[in-house]
Amino acid sequence: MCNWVGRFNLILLILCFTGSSFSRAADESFSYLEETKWADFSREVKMQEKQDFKDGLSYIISGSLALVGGILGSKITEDPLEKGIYTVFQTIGIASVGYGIYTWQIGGEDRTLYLTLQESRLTAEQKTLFLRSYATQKKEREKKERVIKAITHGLIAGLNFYNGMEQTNKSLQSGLYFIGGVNLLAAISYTFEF
Amino acid sequence: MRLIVVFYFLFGLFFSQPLKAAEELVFTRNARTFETQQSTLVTKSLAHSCLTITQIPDGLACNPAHTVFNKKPRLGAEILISNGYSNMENVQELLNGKITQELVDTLFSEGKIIQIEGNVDILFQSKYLSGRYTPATVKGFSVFRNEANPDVELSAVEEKGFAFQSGLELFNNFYAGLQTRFVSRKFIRQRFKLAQLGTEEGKDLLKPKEQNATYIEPGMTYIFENRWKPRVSVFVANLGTVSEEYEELPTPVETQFGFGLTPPMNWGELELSLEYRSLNYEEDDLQKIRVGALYNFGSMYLSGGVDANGLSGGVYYSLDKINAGILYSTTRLLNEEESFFTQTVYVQLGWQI
Repeated sequence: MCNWVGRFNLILLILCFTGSSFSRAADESFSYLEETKWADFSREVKMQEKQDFKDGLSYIISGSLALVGGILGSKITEDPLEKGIYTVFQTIGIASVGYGIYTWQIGGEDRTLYLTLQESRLTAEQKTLFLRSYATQKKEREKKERVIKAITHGLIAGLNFYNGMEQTNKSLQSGLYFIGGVNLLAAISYTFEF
Repeated sequence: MRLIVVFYFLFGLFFSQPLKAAEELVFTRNARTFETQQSTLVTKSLAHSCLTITQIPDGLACNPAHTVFNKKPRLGAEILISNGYSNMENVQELLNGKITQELVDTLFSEGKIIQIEGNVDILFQSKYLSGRYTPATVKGFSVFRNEANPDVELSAVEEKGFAFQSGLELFNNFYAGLQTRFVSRKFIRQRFKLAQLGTEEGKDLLKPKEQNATYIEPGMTYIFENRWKPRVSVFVANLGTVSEEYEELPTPVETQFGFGLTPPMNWGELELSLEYRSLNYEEDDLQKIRVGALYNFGSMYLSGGVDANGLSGGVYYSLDKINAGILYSTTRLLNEEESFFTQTVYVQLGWQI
């Protein structure tokens, strides 16, 4: 039993670790290039700001509906499982409203960068130079990140395959092989920059 | 308004079908639980009319050609359970061959209808490859009728396996993909008189059968250039091998078709689908027609579907790491020459990491 618990915890740890890197993988909206110009960047951010407002409002409205629906649903139903789901709806509802306000009011990293540069006393040319330098740094950083992720996922894959081979319980073995396989694919994708 | 008229027309068409006599009946069934179909809450809600839906928010796409539409990689787990979950253990005991008189009494008692589905999925999705590992899924359905000479309809399936999907945009707006499934099933699917259970020949009635299967299923979608994104999809289901064929659990090769639309909207995204596909492989041509609609607005997904088996409607919320959904669907019970509907509720909880 202890062994089971230990292995389950291991899976959870692996899942958490694997996933956290996945979720960070695709957060960017503006593609920074060495030829980036301040005017282009400025236009893109303003467009994104409008989209953020629309998306934010969508999340606020849908979140409010989840909250109201969740409260009503949990009062109407007698079934504990349904009640549980309606309670989760309430939580998601509040989180969704918060996320909506965040998207609308704060937005992504690009908006912060834009506001910082806009409020500075730099000229348009200097801002362009800054953005290009930022693009180079970002590219370097992404490259290093990919290498680290490829190694990490590769190691996680190896560990899961090893644990899978050691495991006698068929279901758990299949689960470990699956997680190993997923991590191996992630390692390959980061290595070859798909 | 037009949509309402179309739905009303289809609803009338489906449910005006004359009911077959008891002797000719296919199994009485739950509208959204099928023995050989592994589906998520949103897919069920769409009446499984999902071949043209570009993204299923809680699981793998029904059409592997749509793998390319996965916006960002994700790894997570989904747990689905239907009402009647208190019978889960009984159905599992049945499938494990642990049959006792107490279990028989619990399962097949006067007026008792048992319906249960429980799934656990671990999902990995990316633009190039998606996968699903199902450690276990249990589906059970039994109806007891005819007081004088009790009649039992029983269907219980336990399935586990892997599915992998990959897709590519081969030409402009033409997407093709392949799904590979490895499935291991244990099932009982019988219709019998309760008195038979006490006889010598009745001993094997509740004996579970086993089947292993490997399917390689291709799919494609072509999206026409129009504001409404009209698209056609084709999917070949069950192309592969099974360890042993069973008459009571057919999985024939079937070519399925779908037509989908995405009407332009100012707020949110609506996807509509009209499809021709079989789920239990016992339907006639008209019964294979299914209609589904999925509307995404912020963190909310509203979905609905209609087919010959019944109606379904659900709401699913997904925000970053957590998601949850609830689905209400009808269950059509065929009792001699009468039919009546009862309700099945599915709930699903998921965690993305």
